[in-house]
Amino acid sequence: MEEELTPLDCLLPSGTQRICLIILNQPLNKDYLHILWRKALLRACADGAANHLYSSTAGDRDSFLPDYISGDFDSITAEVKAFYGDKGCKLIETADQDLTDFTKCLVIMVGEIQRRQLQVDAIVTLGGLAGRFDQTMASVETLHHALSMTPLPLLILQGSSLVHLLRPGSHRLEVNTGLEGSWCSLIPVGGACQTTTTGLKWNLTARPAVLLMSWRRGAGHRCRREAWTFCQACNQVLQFGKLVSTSNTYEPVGPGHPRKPVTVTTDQPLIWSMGICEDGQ
Amino acid sequence: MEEELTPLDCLLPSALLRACADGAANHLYSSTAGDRDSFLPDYISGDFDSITAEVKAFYGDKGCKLIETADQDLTDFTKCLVIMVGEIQRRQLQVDAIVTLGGLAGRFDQTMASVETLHHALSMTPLPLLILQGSSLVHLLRPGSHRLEVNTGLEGSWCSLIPVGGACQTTTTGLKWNLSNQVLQFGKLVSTSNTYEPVGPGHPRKPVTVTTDQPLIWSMGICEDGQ
Repeated sequence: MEEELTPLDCLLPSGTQRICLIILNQPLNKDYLHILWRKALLRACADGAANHLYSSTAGDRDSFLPDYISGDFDSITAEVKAFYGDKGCKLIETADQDLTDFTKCLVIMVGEIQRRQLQVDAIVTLGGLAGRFDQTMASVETLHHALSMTPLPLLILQGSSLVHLLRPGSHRLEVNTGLEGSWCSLIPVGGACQTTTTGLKWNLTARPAVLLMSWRRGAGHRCRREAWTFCQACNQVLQFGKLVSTSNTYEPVGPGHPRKPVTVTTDQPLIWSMGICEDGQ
Repeated sequence: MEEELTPLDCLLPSALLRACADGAANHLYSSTAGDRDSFLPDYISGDFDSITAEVKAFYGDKGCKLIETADQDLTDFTKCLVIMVGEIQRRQLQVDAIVTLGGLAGRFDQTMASVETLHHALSMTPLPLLILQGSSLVHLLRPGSHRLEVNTGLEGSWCSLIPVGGACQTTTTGLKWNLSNQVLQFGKLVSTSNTYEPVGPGHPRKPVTVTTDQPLIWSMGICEDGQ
Protein backbone atom coordinates (compact mmCIF):
# COMPACT_ATOMS: atom_id res chain seq x y z
CA MET A 1 0.00 0.00 0.00
CA GLU A 2 1.51 3.25 -1.16
CA GLU A 3 1.54 6.36 1.00
CA GLU A 4 0.78 9.49 -1.00
CA LEU A 5 2.02 12.95 -0.14
CA THR A 6 2.31 16.31 -1.84
CA PRO A 7 5.05 17.78 0.34
CA LEU A 8 4.65 21.41 -0.72
CA ASP A 9 0.84 21.45 -0.76
CA CYS A 10 1.07 23.15 2.64
CA LEU A 11 2.62 26.28 1.09
CA LEU A 12 0.18 26.40 -1.82
CA PRO A 13 -2.61 28.92 -1.17
CA SER A 14 -5.03 26.62 -3.04
CA GLY A 15 -3.66 23.52 -1.30
CA THR A 16 -6.11 21.09 0.27
CA GLN A 17 -4.04 19.60 3.10
CA ARG A 18 -5.41 20.14 6.59
CA ILE A 19 -2.39 20.94 8.72
CA CYS A 20 -1.26 21.71 12.23
CA LEU A 21 1.70 24.04 12.75
CA ILE A 22 4.67 23.91 15.12
CA ILE A 23 7.09 26.83 15.20
CA LEU A 24 10.64 26.27 16.46
CA ASN A 25 13.22 28.69 17.84
CA GLN A 26 14.67 30.04 14.59
CA PRO A 27 14.28 33.25 12.55
CA LEU A 28 10.90 33.09 10.80
CA ASN A 29 10.18 33.32 7.09
CA LYS A 30 7.17 35.66 7.09
CA ASP A 31 5.71 34.36 3.83
CA TYR A 32 5.74 30.77 5.07
CA LEU A 33 4.36 31.88 8.42
CA HIS A 34 1.37 33.70 6.93
CA ILE A 35 0.34 30.88 4.58
CA LEU A 36 0.77 28.12 7.13
CA TRP A 37 -0.83 30.05 9.98
CA ARG A 38 -3.96 30.75 7.93
CA LYS A 39 -4.40 27.08 7.05
CA ALA A 40 -3.47 25.53 10.40
CA LEU A 41 -6.12 23.96 12.63
CA LEU A 42 -3.74 24.13 15.61
CA ARG A 43 -0.70 26.35 16.11
CA ALA A 44 2.05 25.98 18.69
CA CYS A 45 5.41 27.48 19.59
CA ALA A 46 8.30 25.58 21.13
CA ASP A 47 9.77 27.85 23.81
CA GLY A 48 11.88 30.62 22.22
CA ALA A 49 9.94 30.31 18.96
CA ALA A 50 7.44 32.58 20.69
CA ASN A 51 10.06 35.36 20.71
CA HIS A 52 10.39 35.08 16.92
CA LEU A 53 6.61 35.01 16.47
CA TYR A 54 6.25 38.08 18.69
CA SER A 55 8.82 40.12 16.76
CA SER A 56 7.67 38.91 13.30
CA THR A 57 4.05 39.88 13.91
CA ALA A 58 4.53 43.34 15.40
CA GLY A 59 1.52 45.47 14.51
CA ASP A 60 -0.83 42.52 14.14
CA ARG A 61 -0.01 40.25 17.06
CA ASP A 62 -3.63 39.52 17.90
CA SER A 63 -4.00 37.71 14.58
CA PHE A 64 -1.13 35.38 15.46
CA LEU A 65 -1.90 33.96 18.89
CA PRO A 66 -0.74 30.35 19.27
CA ASP A 67 -2.99 27.74 20.89
CA TYR A 68 -0.12 26.89 23.21
CA ILE A 69 3.54 27.53 23.92
CA SER A 70 5.43 24.61 25.40
CA GLY A 71 9.00 23.92 26.52
CA ASP A 72 11.29 24.32 29.48
CA PHE A 73 10.95 28.11 29.06
CA ASP A 74 14.67 28.82 29.23
CA SER A 75 14.56 30.74 25.93
CA ILE A 76 11.25 32.64 25.92
CA THR A 77 11.59 36.15 27.35
CA ALA A 78 9.52 37.22 30.34
CA GLU A 79 7.87 39.95 28.22
CA VAL A 80 6.82 37.56 25.46
CA LYS A 81 5.63 34.95 27.94
CA ALA A 82 3.51 37.52 29.75
CA PHE A 83 2.07 38.88 26.50
CA TYR A 84 0.83 35.52 25.22
CA GLY A 85 -0.23 34.37 28.69
CA ASP A 86 -2.40 37.49 29.08
CA LYS A 87 -3.95 36.81 25.67
CA GLY A 88 -5.14 33.39 26.81
CA CYS A 89 -2.53 31.20 25.09
CA LYS A 90 -1.81 28.07 27.10
CA LEU A 91 1.67 27.97 28.60
CA ILE A 92 2.72 24.35 29.09
CA GLU A 93 5.98 23.83 30.93
CA THR A 94 7.67 20.55 30.01
CA ALA A 95 10.68 19.98 32.22
CA ASP A 96 11.81 16.62 30.81
CA GLN A 97 15.48 17.06 29.93
CA ASP A 98 15.73 13.85 27.92
CA LEU A 99 13.50 15.16 25.15
CA THR A 100 13.96 18.31 23.08
CA ASP A 101 11.46 21.16 23.09
CA PHE A 102 10.46 20.08 19.58
CA THR A 103 9.67 16.51 20.58
CA LYS A 104 7.74 17.64 23.64
CA CYS A 105 5.75 20.13 21.57
CA LEU A 106 4.92 17.36 19.11
CA VAL A 107 3.73 15.06 21.91
CA ILE A 108 1.28 17.75 23.04
CA MET A 109 0.18 18.44 19.45
CA VAL A 110 -0.56 14.75 18.79
CA GLY A 111 -2.51 14.52 22.03
CA GLU A 112 -4.50 17.66 21.24
CA ILE A 113 -5.36 16.44 17.71
CA GLN A 114 -6.74 13.24 19.26
CA ARG A 115 -8.54 15.05 22.09
CA ARG A 116 -10.30 17.41 19.68
CA GLN A 117 -10.78 14.60 17.14
CA LEU A 118 -9.40 16.75 14.35
CA GLN A 119 -9.08 15.49 10.77
CA VAL A 120 -5.48 16.34 9.94
CA ASP A 121 -3.35 15.43 6.92
CA ALA A 122 0.09 16.67 8.06
CA ILE A 123 1.96 18.37 10.86
CA VAL A 124 4.19 21.14 9.52
CA THR A 125 7.17 22.57 11.41
CA LEU A 126 8.82 25.92 10.72
CA GLY A 127 12.48 26.08 11.68
CA GLY A 128 14.82 23.41 13.03
CA LEU A 129 17.24 23.09 10.11
CA ALA A 130 19.65 25.98 10.68
CA GLY A 131 21.96 27.17 13.43
CA ARG A 132 23.74 24.66 15.63
CA PHE A 133 24.57 21.40 13.85
CA ASP A 134 23.52 19.28 16.83
CA GLN A 135 20.10 20.96 16.92
CA THR A 136 19.56 20.26 13.22
CA MET A 137 20.37 16.61 13.93
CA ALA A 138 18.04 16.71 16.94
CA SER A 139 15.25 17.78 14.57
CA VAL A 140 15.98 14.71 12.45
CA GLU A 141 15.84 12.60 15.61
CA THR A 142 12.39 14.03 16.35
CA LEU A 143 11.31 12.91 12.86
CA HIS A 144 12.36 9.39 13.82
CA HIS A 145 10.49 9.50 17.12
CA ALA A 146 7.42 10.82 15.32
CA LEU A 147 7.11 7.56 13.36
CA SER A 148 5.98 5.82 16.54
CA MET A 149 4.00 8.78 17.89
CA THR A 150 1.58 9.47 15.04
CA PRO A 151 0.67 8.12 11.58
CA LEU A 152 0.58 11.70 10.30
CA PRO A 153 3.42 12.91 8.07
CA LEU A 154 5.71 15.41 9.82
CA LEU A 155 7.36 18.00 7.57
CA ILE A 156 10.11 20.47 8.53
CA LEU A 157 10.60 23.65 6.49
CA GLN A 158 13.28 26.29 6.84
CA GLY A 159 14.88 28.56 4.27
CA SER A 160 14.76 26.75 0.95
CA SER A 161 14.75 23.21 2.41
CA LEU A 162 11.99 20.77 3.28
CA VAL A 163 12.83 17.62 5.24
CA HIS A 164 10.52 14.61 5.72
CA LEU A 165 11.22 11.09 6.98
CA LEU A 166 9.72 8.31 4.85
CA ARG A 167 8.52 5.23 6.75
CA PRO A 168 9.59 1.80 5.52
CA GLY A 169 7.34 0.94 2.56
CA SER A 170 6.28 2.60 -0.68
CA HIS A 171 5.63 6.29 -1.17
CA ARG A 172 4.35 8.48 -3.97
CA LEU A 173 5.35 12.13 -3.77
CA GLU A 174 3.57 14.66 -5.98
CA VAL A 175 6.00 17.39 -6.99
CA ASN A 176 3.89 19.59 -9.30
CA THR A 177 2.72 22.41 -7.04
CA GLY A 178 5.01 24.83 -8.86
CA LEU A 179 6.74 25.58 -5.55
CA GLU A 180 9.40 22.91 -5.94
CA GLY A 181 13.00 24.05 -6.22
CA SER A 182 15.39 22.28 -8.56
CA TRP A 183 17.02 19.82 -6.15
CA CYS A 184 15.93 16.82 -4.15
CA SER A 185 17.68 14.12 -2.15
CA LEU A 186 17.41 10.82 -0.29
CA ILE A 187 19.57 10.64 2.81
CA PRO A 188 19.92 7.46 4.90
CA VAL A 189 20.41 9.14 8.27
CA GLY A 190 20.37 6.39 10.83
CA GLY A 191 21.43 3.43 8.74
CA ALA A 192 21.43 1.61 5.43
CA CYS A 193 18.26 1.67 3.30
CA GLN A 194 17.49 -0.64 0.40
CA THR A 195 15.86 1.77 -2.00
CA THR A 196 14.21 1.97 -5.39
CA THR A 197 12.85 5.11 -7.00
CA THR A 198 11.15 6.45 -10.10
CA GLY A 199 10.63 10.01 -11.21
CA LEU A 200 14.13 11.24 -10.40
CA LYS A 201 16.84 12.22 -12.84
CA TRP A 202 19.15 9.70 -11.16
CA ASN A 203 16.95 6.88 -9.96
CA LEU A 204 17.90 4.08 -7.65
CA THR A 205 17.02 0.90 -9.39
CA ALA A 206 16.93 -2.78 -8.71
CA ARG A 207 20.05 -4.30 -10.12
CA PRO A 208 19.66 -7.23 -12.52
CA ALA A 209 20.67 -10.46 -10.87
CA VAL A 210 18.98 -12.91 -13.20
CA LEU A 211 18.82 -12.44 -16.95
CA LEU A 212 16.30 -14.43 -18.90
CA MET A 213 16.80 -14.41 -22.57
CA SER A 214 15.00 -16.36 -25.19
CA TRP A 215 16.32 -16.72 -28.65
CA ARG A 216 14.21 -17.27 -31.68
CA ARG A 217 15.59 -18.08 -35.01
CA GLY A 218 13.48 -16.68 -37.75
CA ALA A 219 13.99 -17.02 -41.43
CA GLY A 220 16.89 -14.58 -41.32
CA HIS A 221 18.45 -16.16 -38.27
CA ARG A 222 17.58 -13.15 -36.14
CA CYS A 223 17.72 -13.56 -32.39
CA ARG A 224 15.39 -11.74 -30.06
CA ARG A 225 16.07 -11.01 -26.49
CA GLU A 226 12.93 -11.73 -24.51
CA ALA A 227 13.05 -10.27 -21.09
CA TRP A 228 15.14 -9.15 -18.15
CA THR A 229 14.15 -10.31 -14.73
CA PHE A 230 15.36 -8.34 -11.76
CA CYS A 231 16.20 -9.80 -8.42
CA GLN A 232 13.98 -7.92 -5.98
CA ALA A 233 16.49 -8.34 -3.18
CA CYS A 234 19.17 -6.45 -5.11
CA ASN A 235 17.82 -2.91 -4.67
CA GLN A 236 20.48 -0.25 -4.35
CA VAL A 237 21.61 0.47 -0.81
CA LEU A 238 21.85 4.04 0.40
CA GLN A 239 24.34 4.32 3.25
CA PHE A 240 26.76 6.95 4.52
CA GLY A 241 30.21 6.05 3.30
CA LYS A 242 28.84 4.17 0.29
CA LEU A 243 26.04 6.04 -1.49
CA VAL A 244 23.96 9.08 -0.51
CA SER A 245 21.71 10.73 -3.07
CA THR A 246 22.22 14.50 -2.81
CA SER A 247 21.89 17.17 -5.51
CA ASN A 248 19.45 14.90 -7.35
CA THR A 249 16.63 16.39 -9.39
CA TYR A 250 13.40 15.43 -11.13
CA GLU A 251 13.06 13.36 -14.29
CA PRO A 252 12.93 15.78 -17.21
CA VAL A 253 9.59 16.02 -19.02
CA GLY A 254 8.59 17.66 -22.29
CA PRO A 255 7.54 21.32 -22.30
CA GLY A 256 4.00 21.75 -21.02
CA HIS A 257 3.98 18.34 -19.41
CA PRO A 258 3.58 17.94 -15.65
CA ARG A 259 6.35 16.27 -13.67
CA LYS A 260 5.82 12.61 -12.91
CA PRO A 261 5.37 11.76 -9.26
CA VAL A 262 8.45 10.55 -7.44
CA THR A 263 8.03 7.04 -6.04
CA VAL A 264 10.30 5.73 -3.32
CA THR A 265 10.36 2.27 -1.80
CA THR A 266 12.56 1.76 1.24
CA ASP A 267 13.05 -0.94 3.85
CA GLN A 268 14.19 1.50 6.58
CA PRO A 269 13.24 5.07 7.52
CA LEU A 270 14.76 7.33 4.85
CA ILE A 271 15.00 11.12 4.75
CA TRP A 272 13.46 12.84 1.70
CA SER A 273 14.70 16.42 1.40
CA MET A 274 13.80 18.86 -1.38
CA GLY A 275 14.24 22.44 -2.38
CA ILE A 276 11.53 25.03 -2.04
CA CYS A 277 11.44 27.51 -4.90
CA GLU A 278 12.48 30.94 -3.76
CA ASP A 279 11.03 34.12 -5.26
CA GLY A 280 11.97 34.60 -8.84
CA GLN A 281 13.22 31.04 -9.34
CA MET B 1 45.59 2.93 20.45
CA GLU B 2 43.95 6.25 21.21
CA GLU B 3 43.76 9.02 18.63
CA GLU B 4 44.40 12.45 20.15
CA LEU B 5 42.95 15.66 18.77
CA THR B 6 42.51 19.26 19.91
CA PRO B 7 39.69 20.21 17.54
CA LEU B 8 39.89 23.99 17.92
CA ASP B 9 43.66 24.21 17.72
CA CYS B 10 43.12 24.87 14.02
CA LEU B 11 41.80 28.38 14.59
CA LEU B 12 45.38 29.59 14.93
CA PRO B 13 46.59 30.90 11.53
CA SER B 14 49.00 28.31 10.18
CA ALA B 15 47.76 26.65 6.97
CA LEU B 16 50.40 24.95 4.82
CA LEU B 17 48.07 24.57 1.83
CA ARG B 18 44.93 26.51 0.96
CA ALA B 19 42.26 25.63 -1.58
CA CYS B 20 38.83 26.76 -2.70
CA ALA B 21 36.08 24.51 -3.99
CA ASP B 22 34.50 26.27 -6.99
CA GLY B 23 32.25 29.13 -5.82
CA ALA B 24 34.15 29.37 -2.54
CA ALA B 25 36.54 31.53 -4.55
CA ASN B 26 33.76 34.12 -4.98
CA HIS B 27 33.41 34.36 -1.20
CA LEU B 28 37.17 34.57 -0.71
CA TYR B 29 37.39 37.31 -3.35
CA SER B 30 34.69 39.45 -1.74
CA SER B 31 35.83 38.82 1.84
CA THR B 32 39.42 39.87 1.14
CA ALA B 33 38.77 43.08 -0.80
CA GLY B 34 41.65 45.49 -0.18
CA ASP B 35 44.14 42.72 0.67
CA ARG B 36 43.50 40.02 -1.93
CA ASP B 37 47.18 39.38 -2.58
CA SER B 38 47.56 38.07 0.97
CA PHE B 39 44.84 35.49 0.39
CA LEU B 40 45.76 33.64 -2.79
CA PRO B 41 44.79 29.96 -2.70
CA ASP B 42 47.22 27.31 -3.94
CA TYR B 43 44.43 25.98 -6.15
CA ILE B 44 40.75 26.29 -6.98
CA SER B 45 39.05 23.09 -8.06
CA GLY B 46 35.55 22.04 -9.06
CA ASP B 47 33.24 21.87 -12.07
CA PHE B 48 33.37 25.70 -12.21
CA ASP B 49 29.64 26.17 -12.49
CA SER B 50 29.61 28.57 -9.49
CA ILE B 51 32.82 30.63 -9.74
CA THR B 52 32.32 33.86 -11.68
CA ALA B 53 34.38 34.63 -14.76
CA GLU B 54 35.83 37.71 -13.05
CA VAL B 55 36.97 35.80 -9.97
CA LYS B 56 38.36 32.92 -12.05
CA ALA B 57 40.36 35.33 -14.16
CA PHE B 58 41.66 37.21 -11.11
CA TYR B 59 43.07 34.15 -9.37
CA GLY B 60 44.27 32.58 -12.63
CA ASP B 61 46.24 35.73 -13.42
CA LYS B 62 47.77 35.62 -9.94
CA GLY B 63 49.16 32.16 -10.58
CA CYS B 64 46.64 30.08 -8.58
CA LYS B 65 46.11 26.67 -10.16
CA LEU B 66 42.66 26.16 -11.65
CA ILE B 67 41.81 22.46 -11.64
CA GLU B 68 38.59 21.50 -13.41
CA THR B 69 37.08 18.29 -12.05
CA ALA B 70 34.12 17.24 -14.16
CA ASP B 71 33.13 14.08 -12.28
CA GLN B 72 29.44 14.44 -11.48
CA ASP B 73 29.33 11.54 -9.04
CA LEU B 74 31.47 13.35 -6.47
CA THR B 75 30.83 16.73 -4.89
CA ASP B 76 33.19 19.68 -5.31
CA PHE B 77 34.20 19.17 -1.66
CA THR B 78 35.19 15.54 -2.13
CA LYS B 79 37.09 16.33 -5.33
CA CYS B 80 38.93 19.21 -3.65
CA LEU B 81 39.88 16.87 -0.82
CA VAL B 82 41.22 14.25 -3.24
CA ILE B 83 43.54 16.90 -4.72
CA MET B 84 44.55 18.14 -1.26
CA VAL B 85 45.49 14.65 -0.09
CA GLY B 86 47.50 14.09 -3.27
CA GLU B 87 49.27 17.42 -2.91
CA ILE B 88 50.17 16.76 0.75
CA GLN B 89 51.74 13.48 -0.33
CA ARG B 90 53.50 14.98 -3.35
CA ARG B 91 55.08 17.77 -1.29
CA GLN B 92 55.66 15.36 1.61
CA LEU B 93 54.17 17.81 4.07
CA GLN B 94 53.86 17.04 7.77
CA VAL B 95 50.20 17.79 8.43
CA ASP B 96 48.06 17.21 11.50
CA ALA B 97 44.60 18.05 10.19
CA ILE B 98 42.63 19.22 7.17
CA VAL B 99 40.26 22.05 8.09
CA THR B 100 37.23 23.01 6.02
CA LEU B 101 35.40 26.33 6.25
CA GLY B 102 31.76 26.11 5.24
CA GLY B 103 29.57 23.14 4.30
CA LEU B 104 27.15 23.17 7.23
CA ALA B 105 24.61 25.80 6.23
CA GLY B 106 22.23 26.42 3.36
CA ARG B 107 20.62 23.49 1.56
CA PHE B 108 19.98 20.51 3.83
CA ASP B 109 21.17 18.04 1.20
CA GLN B 110 24.47 19.87 0.84
CA THR B 111 25.04 19.76 4.61
CA MET B 112 24.43 16.01 4.46
CA ALA B 113 26.78 15.79 1.45
CA SER B 114 29.49 17.35 3.64
CA VAL B 115 28.89 14.61 6.19
CA GLU B 116 29.16 12.06 3.38
CA THR B 117 32.55 13.54 2.41
CA LEU B 118 33.66 13.03 6.02
CA HIS B 119 32.81 9.36 5.63
CA HIS B 120 34.69 9.05 2.33
CA ALA B 121 37.67 10.80 3.89
CA LEU B 122 38.16 7.90 6.32
CA SER B 123 39.40 5.77 3.43
CA MET B 124 41.23 8.60 1.64
CA THR B 125 43.57 9.83 4.36
CA PRO B 126 44.53 9.08 7.96
CA LEU B 127 44.41 12.81 8.72
CA PRO B 128 41.49 14.18 10.74
CA LEU B 129 39.09 16.25 8.64
CA LEU B 130 37.28 19.06 10.48
CA ILE B 131 34.41 21.20 9.18
CA LEU B 132 33.71 24.60 10.73
CA GLN B 133 30.88 27.01 9.99
CA GLY B 134 29.13 29.55 12.18
CA SER B 135 29.37 28.29 15.72
CA SER B 136 29.60 24.57 14.84
CA LEU B 137 32.50 22.19 14.31
CA VAL B 138 31.84 18.73 12.87
CA HIS B 139 34.32 15.83 12.83
CA LEU B 140 33.84 12.10 12.12
CA LEU B 141 35.49 9.78 14.64
CA ARG B 142 36.85 6.53 13.23
CA PRO B 143 36.00 3.26 14.97
CA GLY B 144 38.33 3.00 17.98
CA SER B 145 39.29 5.22 20.91
CA HIS B 146 39.69 8.98 20.87
CA ARG B 147 40.82 11.65 23.29
CA LEU B 148 39.63 15.16 22.53
CA GLU B 149 41.27 18.12 24.28
CA VAL B 150 38.70 20.81 24.90
CA ASN B 151 40.67 23.46 26.78
CA THR B 152 41.67 25.95 24.09
CA GLY B 153 39.26 28.49 25.56
CA LEU B 154 37.49 28.59 22.20
CA GLU B 155 34.99 25.86 23.03
CA GLY B 156 31.32 26.81 23.21
CA SER B 157 29.04 25.29 25.80
CA TRP B 158 27.56 22.39 23.81
CA CYS B 159 28.80 19.19 22.27
CA SER B 160 27.22 16.10 20.73
CA LEU B 161 27.68 12.59 19.37
CA ILE B 162 25.54 11.80 16.34
CA PRO B 163 25.32 8.32 14.75
CA VAL B 164 24.52 9.54 11.25
CA GLY B 165 25.57 6.40 9.40
CA GLY B 166 24.10 3.80 11.71
CA ALA B 167 24.17 2.39 15.24
CA CYS B 168 27.35 2.95 17.30
CA GLN B 169 28.23 1.21 20.55
CA THR B 170 29.73 4.06 22.48
CA THR B 171 31.52 4.78 25.74
CA THR B 172 32.57 8.25 26.86
CA THR B 173 34.19 10.15 29.71
CA GLY B 174 34.47 13.88 30.26
CA LEU B 175 30.92 14.74 29.27
CA LYS B 176 28.13 15.91 31.55
CA TRP B 177 25.99 13.03 30.28
CA ASN B 178 28.36 10.16 29.54
CA LEU B 179 27.60 6.94 27.67
CA SER B 180 28.52 3.63 29.18
CA ASN B 181 28.76 1.07 26.36
CA GLN B 182 25.40 2.31 25.10
CA VAL B 183 24.08 2.20 21.56
CA LEU B 184 23.61 5.54 19.84
CA GLN B 185 21.11 5.24 16.99
CA PHE B 186 18.55 7.50 15.32
CA GLY B 187 15.13 6.62 16.65
CA LYS B 188 16.58 5.34 19.92
CA LEU B 189 19.27 7.60 21.38
CA VAL B 190 21.21 10.53 19.93
CA SER B 191 23.38 12.68 22.18
CA THR B 192 22.66 16.33 21.34
CA SER B 193 22.85 19.40 23.62
CA ASN B 194 25.40 17.58 25.75
CA THR B 195 28.15 19.52 27.53
CA TYR B 196 31.42 19.06 29.36
CA GLU B 197 31.86 17.51 32.80
CA PRO B 198 31.86 20.37 35.31
CA VAL B 199 35.18 21.07 37.03
CA GLY B 200 36.07 23.26 39.98
CA PRO B 201 36.90 26.96 39.44
CA GLY B 202 40.39 27.42 38.04
CA HIS B 203 40.64 23.79 36.97
CA PRO B 204 41.06 22.85 33.31
CA ARG B 205 38.40 20.73 31.65
CA LYS B 206 39.16 17.03 31.47
CA PRO B 207 39.65 15.65 27.99
CA VAL B 208 36.65 13.99 26.41
CA THR B 209 37.27 10.33 25.57
CA VAL B 210 35.08 8.47 23.09
CA THR B 211 35.24 4.81 22.12
CA THR B 212 33.03 3.71 19.25
CA ASP B 213 32.69 0.62 17.06
CA GLN B 214 31.42 2.53 14.00
CA PRO B 215 32.16 5.97 12.51
CA LEU B 216 30.52 8.52 14.82
CA ILE B 217 30.05 12.27 14.35
CA TRP B 218 31.50 14.52 17.08
CA SER B 219 30.05 18.02 16.85
CA MET B 220 30.81 20.89 19.21
CA GLY B 221 30.17 24.57 19.66
CA ILE B 222 32.73 27.24 18.91
CA CYS B 223 32.67 30.11 21.36
CA GLU B 224 31.37 33.28 19.75
CA ASP B 225 32.63 36.76 20.70
CA GLY B 226 31.71 37.75 24.18
CA GLN B 227 30.70 34.26 25.27
